[in-house]
Amino acid sequence: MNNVDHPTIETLSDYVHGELSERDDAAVHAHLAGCSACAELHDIEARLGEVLRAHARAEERELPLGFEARIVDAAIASDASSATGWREAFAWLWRPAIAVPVAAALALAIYFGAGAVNPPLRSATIDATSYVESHTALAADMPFADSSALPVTFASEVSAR
Amino acid sequence: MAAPRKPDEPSSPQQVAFLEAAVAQYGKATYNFAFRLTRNEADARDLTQEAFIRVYRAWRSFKPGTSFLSWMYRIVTNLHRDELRRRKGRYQEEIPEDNEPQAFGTGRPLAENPIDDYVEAQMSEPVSKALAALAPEQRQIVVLADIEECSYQEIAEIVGCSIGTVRSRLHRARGQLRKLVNRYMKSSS
Ligand SMILES: [Zn+2]
Repeated sequence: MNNVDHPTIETLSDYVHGELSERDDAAVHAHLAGCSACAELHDIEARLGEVLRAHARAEERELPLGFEARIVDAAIASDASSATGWREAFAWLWRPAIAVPVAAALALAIYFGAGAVNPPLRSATIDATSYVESHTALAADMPFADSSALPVTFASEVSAR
Repeated sequence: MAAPRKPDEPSSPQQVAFLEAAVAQYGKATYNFAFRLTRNEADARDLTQEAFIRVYRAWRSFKPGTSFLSWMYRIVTNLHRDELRRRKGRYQEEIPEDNEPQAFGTGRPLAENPIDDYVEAQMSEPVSKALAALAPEQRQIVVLADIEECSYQEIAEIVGCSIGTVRSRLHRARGQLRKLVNRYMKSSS
């Protein structure tokens, strides 16, 4: 890219988001210093992001009262209620349009002693790896590592800046 | 037909403690993220609750040392997408009812940035309306890229698409958003 080729609006957006390669980033940076038309477009792009973040800060919400406890109760209840997780994983089976023919097919299969059942039904024995796998979260006192991992910004951090 | 059996897995005190810690630490961020996607408090509550239920069930899958929030965003984004698909079957187009700007809560942190005051005074309503009018899939990308400030790589992982798709969707979404903000600015002045 040289000073004759003005960056596209897409390139300016990538630039604003810090998503250009080092070389392209430097080229755009140099171009903006000498081209007021592009500098203006860049400002509009940058401003859109600022406006969105300012708006998000302004409308940030506190959790509704008692909501945390409700979440925990709902999660425990969902676990305790008979096989909810599995019912959900096979939600499509319970839809009448599917459940009726499936039940009919199953009845026929039992009646005729057919060994082979439809693959979807066999998948009812789907692996429960995530339930069985041993893993380190059990042992961790403070398992969350957002302070040190991905630089994902979240609202409560934004307001603290 | 006999219901499939769930593996014998009673909830352990560690599992509950994990959930409680997650809710305490990330409940608000998750709820605000869900609100930004849905533009609707009731939907945001449902989405948040459902997301933490997933966390509770899949807590063994979480790897300590990785970003919890990134995982959470992924769960919320997936649930939101599923919900949109489900609703699309029923409604031709989703237009949120309560897309009017909300009264600011008392717990709101004070604006520290001059642009905050400016936005609040001049642009809050147009931006709010424009975000609400944006197609949900576009809003998702804008929220992740511009509000949560995720990298294209992170967004690709959260949404489950390529970086190229993130880039092109973001460009389209921002173009549309610019148009909408301008339109609502004009109509309000
Ligand atoms: Zn130029």
